Amino acid sequence: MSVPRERKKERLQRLQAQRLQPAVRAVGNGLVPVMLALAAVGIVVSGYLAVTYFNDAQVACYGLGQCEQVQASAYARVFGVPIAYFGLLSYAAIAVLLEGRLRLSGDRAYLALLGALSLAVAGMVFSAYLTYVEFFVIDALCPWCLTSAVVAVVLAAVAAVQVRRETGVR
Amino acid sequence: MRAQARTTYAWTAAVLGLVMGLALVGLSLASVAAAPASAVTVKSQQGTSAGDPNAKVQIVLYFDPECVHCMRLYYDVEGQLIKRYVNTGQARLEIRPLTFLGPPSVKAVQALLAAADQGRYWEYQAALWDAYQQAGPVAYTDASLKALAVRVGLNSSQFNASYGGGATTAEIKAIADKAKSQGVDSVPHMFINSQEVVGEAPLQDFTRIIDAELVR
Repeated sequence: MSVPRERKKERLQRLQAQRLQPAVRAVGNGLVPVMLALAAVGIVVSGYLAVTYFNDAQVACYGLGQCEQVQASAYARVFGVPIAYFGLLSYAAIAVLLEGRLRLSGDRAYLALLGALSLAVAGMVFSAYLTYVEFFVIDALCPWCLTSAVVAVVLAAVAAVQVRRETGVR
Repeated sequence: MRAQARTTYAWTAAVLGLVMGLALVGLSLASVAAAPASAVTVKSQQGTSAGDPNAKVQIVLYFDPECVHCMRLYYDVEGQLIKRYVNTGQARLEIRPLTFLGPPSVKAVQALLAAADQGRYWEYQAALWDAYQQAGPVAYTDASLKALAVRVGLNSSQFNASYGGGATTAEIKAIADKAKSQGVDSVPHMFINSQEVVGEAPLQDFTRIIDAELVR
């Protein structure tokens, strides 16, 4: 039984489309070590703020801002939980996911990278809000918080570049 | 995974991150809006003291309105002590505000004492800490402290007359002298009868001492 001419044509088109569907290019570690280094800086900064909060110690400001004022502000906690804890948890989770990206392969590695991207974007959005609050609401700056904000923005940008590379086509 | 699928996943991850970030911002704003729930009803206020003058437990608290630890002690401990012991007649609490930390502290203490003159010390103190929690020492300007008095419902002309006046300045010095004579060189600093608690401590540290003093 002969296949109708129209259906043959459809099948041919489908096969061509599948052949044209780009495959994923194999990539090296690329910018992942840079992201890990940034996450490490984030862990150190937010870890310091979390430890000082936990120990009820004063934040060392080195005359570069008004750390006590920022620390005392209502914006330094979310329903009683210090935001430094959120930062520490987030940077640690990003580091674990990036470690997964380095150790795993194929789609799992890619999904680990996407997890890191998600957290980095969330961190960037929240840091932007906190920086706005520092400049325009409480009118006090904390160099530790600003460092963390810069790290969050750069981390999100680098993550986006790396994801773009790994989403790339042959 | 094909490139097209990867692109979809990548965009999903980015949008998810954006949503998480915005959710955190929303939580923070909700938390700030809910934060100033500090006012506690204080029975039998006399100036900067509250409670029965003959109560078995006499509590004296030295603090500075610019001290973050004092602020936390206020939010976490002071209100609970007032509810449990002062309002029930078991203890008397006397607050002695100090000006260790500079000019904004002086202004804030003058304002507190001016409010105390009208028998509304704790109402003003609640508003003052809430303002400090929101903005830090920049909340302690003449204009904002006077505005707080209006918000708390104090008599403005009476407040303005007391604020920065000779009587409050003399009172500040008298409190500083008392602190010196009792060896107070840091804040917060609390005396529960003869026992001292220096620095910020959890509520149970204070209740343990007070409960022990009550059964003595």
